Amino acid sequence: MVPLCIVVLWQGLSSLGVFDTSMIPSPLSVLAAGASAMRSGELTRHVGISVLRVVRGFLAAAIAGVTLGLALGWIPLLRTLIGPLLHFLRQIPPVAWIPVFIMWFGIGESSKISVVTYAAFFPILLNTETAAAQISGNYLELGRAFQFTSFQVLTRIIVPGSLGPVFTGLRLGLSNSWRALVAAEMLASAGGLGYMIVLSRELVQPDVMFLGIIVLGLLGYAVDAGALRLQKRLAPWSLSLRT
Amino acid sequence: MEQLVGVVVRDVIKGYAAGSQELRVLDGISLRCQPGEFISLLGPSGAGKTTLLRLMAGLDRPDHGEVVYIDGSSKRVDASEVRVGMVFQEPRLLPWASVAKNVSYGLQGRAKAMNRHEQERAVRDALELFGLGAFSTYLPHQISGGMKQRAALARALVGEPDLLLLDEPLGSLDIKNRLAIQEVLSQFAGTRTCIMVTHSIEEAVYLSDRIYVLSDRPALVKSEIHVPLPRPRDRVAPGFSTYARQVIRALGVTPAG
Ligand SMILES: Nc1ncnc2c1ncn2[C@@H]1O[C@H](COP(=O)(O)OP(=O)(O)OP(=O)(O)O)[C@@H](O)[C@H]1O
Ligand SMILES: [Mg+2]
Repeated sequence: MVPLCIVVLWQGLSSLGVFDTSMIPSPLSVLAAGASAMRSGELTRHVGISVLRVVRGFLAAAIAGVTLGLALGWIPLLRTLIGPLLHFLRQIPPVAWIPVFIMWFGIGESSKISVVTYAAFFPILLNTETAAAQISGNYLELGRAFQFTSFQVLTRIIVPGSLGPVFTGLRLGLSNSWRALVAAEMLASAGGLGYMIVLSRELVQPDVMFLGIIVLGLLGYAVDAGALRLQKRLAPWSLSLRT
Repeated sequence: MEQLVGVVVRDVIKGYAAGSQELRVLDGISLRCQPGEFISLLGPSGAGKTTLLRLMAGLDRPDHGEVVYIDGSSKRVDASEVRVGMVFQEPRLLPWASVAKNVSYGLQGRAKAMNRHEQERAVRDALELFGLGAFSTYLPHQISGGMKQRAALARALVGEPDLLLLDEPLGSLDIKNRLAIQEVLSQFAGTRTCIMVTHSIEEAVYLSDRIYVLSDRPALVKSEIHVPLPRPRDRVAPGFSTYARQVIRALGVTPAG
């Protein structure tokens, strides 16, 4: 409701000539830019490129982050050994790595995907680790009382018990992915939404610029909503009050 | 063929670190539960009953003294051969697993000898026994406190344990369920070794062969009361109140005023 009001207000003010349209284009012109970009296939192409990069980078981060997070949470020795290194790496903004990754992997897809992976990895890792480490001692004691095997402790307690925070980590990781990707595409890319936005500035197309920004917001929103629904389905207890 | 296992607690000392000091919870306590015996532990809050039960379950070690399992001829039985069914003071159901799944986690070693179908059947029987048949697919946060406690009981019993350790298992049940579950437990008396912590004198007398009344922390055995009443027991029989009065006297409760 509120977003709709803002759009209406924005359009109203634009029509009244309050905004300089070379600075703030009207919603209708953004919509028109969207329609024409759709028709030419440009929008779909850029979105496709970006989404594919996020999917590939994020999946790699999810697999690595969850696996390593579970291991770190479960094995205190591992935490002592590589914990400090991870916390050091975590502090480095993913964008700072872009030149390094380009140097290592070239200007192609790999460098962009690596930045996405780097950005998504840490929230996933840390949330998983904390969750696995903080599984209530009571539950582990229950496992001992009922003679669970180590494998059963993992599958019955550690993994499901970490699932809620893991989802939180995945959602954070997803939104980090978008941010890092757009930065990477703005710096060094010939495709993707970030590139589209930078290019539109050079071509003086503010409506395309805003189109890119709005599409980014919508995509991020939709993906997060999807992840939340998935969490509700797969781990309903993590969203309800704990007992 | 299941074995009957007893427990011997001998001169057990157990303390917890409390800051720089030690909080002595058990200070040389000794007691014994014969194979097949039903024992109740009664004592004030904070005395160390849960601590004692955890030691008997092998979940913790005494600082001094020993806890050993014995068979019918008082020979030691290795802890690895004893299947313990435990009901913790709080239900401690895993919040992510359905009631049936939670109960199935109590099957322990018994699961190995069963196929999937038999396991499901055993779980269903246990759920029925505790009136939870209709709730097998519910998650723990969707059932009431009393139902959780019954699910914890079902989980403890489904594995046909050699030794049943119950920490105030009927605490949050309504009267009707309490009586019903007492009935279920009374059927185990004699066929299964059972040690139960309770705050209810009536429950202790109704179920137990022997009642240990414990002192304040550090818990020591204040008094030991044999209840040789025939089973099934009758709460309104004259003998019943005799034993209840003995327990009250042992607790050292003096009438107010
Ligand atoms: N893990 C622990 N660490 C430190 N202190 C503990 C721990 N467990 C129990 N205690 C302390 O030991 C004492 C005895 O606790 P315990 O739980 O055995 O009592 P209880 O007899 O079961 O009491 P209640 O009837 O209230 O359940 C308490 O003072 C408690 O604070
Ligand atoms: Mg207790």
